[in-house]
Amino acid sequence: MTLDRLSGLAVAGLGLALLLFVIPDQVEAVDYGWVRPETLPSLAAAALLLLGLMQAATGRGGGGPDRRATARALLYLGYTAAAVWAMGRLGFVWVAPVMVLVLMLWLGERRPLWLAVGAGAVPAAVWVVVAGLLGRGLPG
Amino acid sequence: MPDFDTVLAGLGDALTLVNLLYVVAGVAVGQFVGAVPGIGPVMAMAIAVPFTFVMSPLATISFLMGVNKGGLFGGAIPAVLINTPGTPDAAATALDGFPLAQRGKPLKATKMALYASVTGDTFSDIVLITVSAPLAAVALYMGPVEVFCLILFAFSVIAGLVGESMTRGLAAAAFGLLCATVGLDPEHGTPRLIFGQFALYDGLPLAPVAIGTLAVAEILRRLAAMRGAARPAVAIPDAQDPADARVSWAEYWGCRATMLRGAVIGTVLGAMPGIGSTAAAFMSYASARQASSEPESFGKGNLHGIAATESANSAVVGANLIPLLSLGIPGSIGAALVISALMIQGIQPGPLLFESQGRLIYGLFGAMLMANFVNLWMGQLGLRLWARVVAAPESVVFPAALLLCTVGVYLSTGDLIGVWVMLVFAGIGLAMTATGYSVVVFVIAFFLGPRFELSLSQSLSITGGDPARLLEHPVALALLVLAVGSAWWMGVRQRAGR
Repeated sequence: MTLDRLSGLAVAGLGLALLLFVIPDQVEAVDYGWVRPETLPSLAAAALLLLGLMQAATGRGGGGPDRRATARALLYLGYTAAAVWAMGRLGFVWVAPVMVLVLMLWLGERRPLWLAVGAGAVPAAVWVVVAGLLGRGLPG
Repeated sequence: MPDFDTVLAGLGDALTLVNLLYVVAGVAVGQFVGAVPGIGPVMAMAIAVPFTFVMSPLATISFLMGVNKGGLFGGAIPAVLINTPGTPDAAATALDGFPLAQRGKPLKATKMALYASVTGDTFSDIVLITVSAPLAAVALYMGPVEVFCLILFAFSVIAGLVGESMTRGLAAAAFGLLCATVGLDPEHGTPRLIFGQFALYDGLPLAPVAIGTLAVAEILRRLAAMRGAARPAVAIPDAQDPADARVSWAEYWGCRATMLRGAVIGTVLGAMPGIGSTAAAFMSYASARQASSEPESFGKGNLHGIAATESANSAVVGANLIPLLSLGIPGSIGAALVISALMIQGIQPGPLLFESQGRLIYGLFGAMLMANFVNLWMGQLGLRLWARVVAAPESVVFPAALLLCTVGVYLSTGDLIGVWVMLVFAGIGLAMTATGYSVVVFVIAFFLGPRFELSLSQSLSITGGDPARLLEHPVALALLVLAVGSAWWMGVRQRAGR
C-alpha cells in the first residue's frame, strides 16, 4: 500500500474517531442556535473522514519519506521536549547553554569559537535582553 | 476632517530628529526580530507596549509602526535564506525566495523582498492617508454575511496553492478549522476539545501553532538532514556576478503589475478586519501565478513570486489602520497592540479620533511614510549583516533558532504550556510534510477559523438560514460568485497543469 493511501486511511481514521468518540465526549451538547458548539468540529471531522477516504481510494503516491531522516527529526523533537521539561524545573540559565551545547556537539560541531557562540553568547544575549533589559521572566 | 493647519502641524511633529530616532530604533528592532525565526514583530510589539508608557503618544506610535514595518520585511530574510519564515506572513515569500537563494542569488532575492515590501507599504500608506474615509465606509458596510463570503473567497483562492492534490489541501484546511475550534465556542461560550486543560479556554494560541508547524518543524527537518558536516545554512558567494547580487531597474519595473496587484490585495484585505497579512500574501501569490504566462516557474525562484507576497503582506500594515482609526476596530494583532498603546496614553480610538486627535493622526501618517524610507535605507545597509548572521554554520543557527523559538513562544504566552503546544504542532508539522499535506494551508485555515465560525453563525442568524436572502447582500453575493468562479478556474488550471 502506498504512503498516499496509508495517510488517507490515517486521516479518515482521525475523522472517524473525532466523530464517534472525541467530539461527543469533549464538546458540550447544546440544542439551540444556528451554529451549535459541535457544528464546526463535526463538519471538519466529517470532511477529514470523507477526504481521507477519497485519498485512500485514489492515492497513487510513490516513494515514502526518508525513514531515517524522519526518525532523526523525531529524536531531535524528543530531545527538545526533554530540554523544555528540564528548563521548567531547573531554569533557563542552567538548561539553555547545555541544551544548545549538546545539540551542537550532536550535530558534529567541534570548533571552540562556534561552540562558545552557540552555547555561551546566544543564551547570554537572550538572558540580557529578556531578563535584564525588558525585565520579563524566563522559563524556570 | 481636520483643517490644513492641523495636517501640517501633525506632519511637522513627525519630521523631527527625535521622532526620526524612534522610527530608526523601531525599524532596527523590527528587522532584527523579524530576521530571527520565532520572535517576530508582533511579539516584539507586545513586549514593547508596556514600556511605551514613558514615551509621548507620537513617539510610541512611531516606534511601534517602525517595529511592525521593519519586522514584516525582516521576516522575509530567513524565509529566503534558510526557508524558515521569520513570521507567518513571510511563509509565502519562501516559496520562491528560497529556491532563488539556492540558485546562488540570495542577495537578489532579499533585495526584491525589500523593494516590494517598501513599495507595497508606501502604496498602502498613501491609500490610508488619501482615501481612508471612503474605504472605512466600505469596511463599515461589510457585515458578517460579507465577511463570511470574503473568507470563503479567500479559501477558494488559497486552494490554488495546495499543489498536486486538492484532496490533501482540503484535508489540511479542515484540520486547521478543527484546531481553530478548540476553546470556548463563540455563540454559546461552552468549552470544546480542551481535554481538561483550562489554559486552552482561549483556544490554541496562534504564535505557538504557527511557529511550531512552520518554523520548529522546518528546523527539525534541517537538523535531521545534516550529516555531521558543519556547513553554512546558505552559501553566499563572495565573488559573484554583480547582476546576481542586485535587482536591476528593469527587473523591478518588470514586476510593477505584480507589486501593484499585491499592494491592492493587501490594502483591500488589510482594510477589512480579521483577514490579515498572511492571507493577503498567499492570495497575492496565487493571483500572480494565475496571471503569469509562466505559472510553472513559480516555486522555482521567480522574482514575481517574491514581489507578489512581500508587496501584499506589507500593504496590510497601513490598511489595518483604516478600521482602527475610523471605527476603533483592530484589523490585526499588530493593530490591536497599537490600540493598547494608545489607550495607555489615554487616547480612545474611534470615529472621533480624526476630530479630537487630528494632529496626532497626521503625525502618525508622517511617521509611517518616514518609516518606509528608513526601512529601505536600513534594509539596504542591514541585508549583508543579516545574510552574514544567517550564513553562520547550521550547527549554530538551528540550535540557536530552536532556543529563540522556545523563549519567544514562552514570552508570548507567559508559560510553558505555549511551548508544549509549539512542540506538539512541530510534530504535527513534521508528519504533515512527510505525507504531503500542506502546513501552510493548515495555518491559514487555523488563523481564519474563529472569524469563519463567528461570521457563519451571525450570517445564519441574519438570513434565517434562507439562501434567497443573500440577494439582500449584493457584496456578499458577488464574493460568493467570485469564490465559486475562482475555485472552478483553479481546478481547470490544475487539470491543465497535469
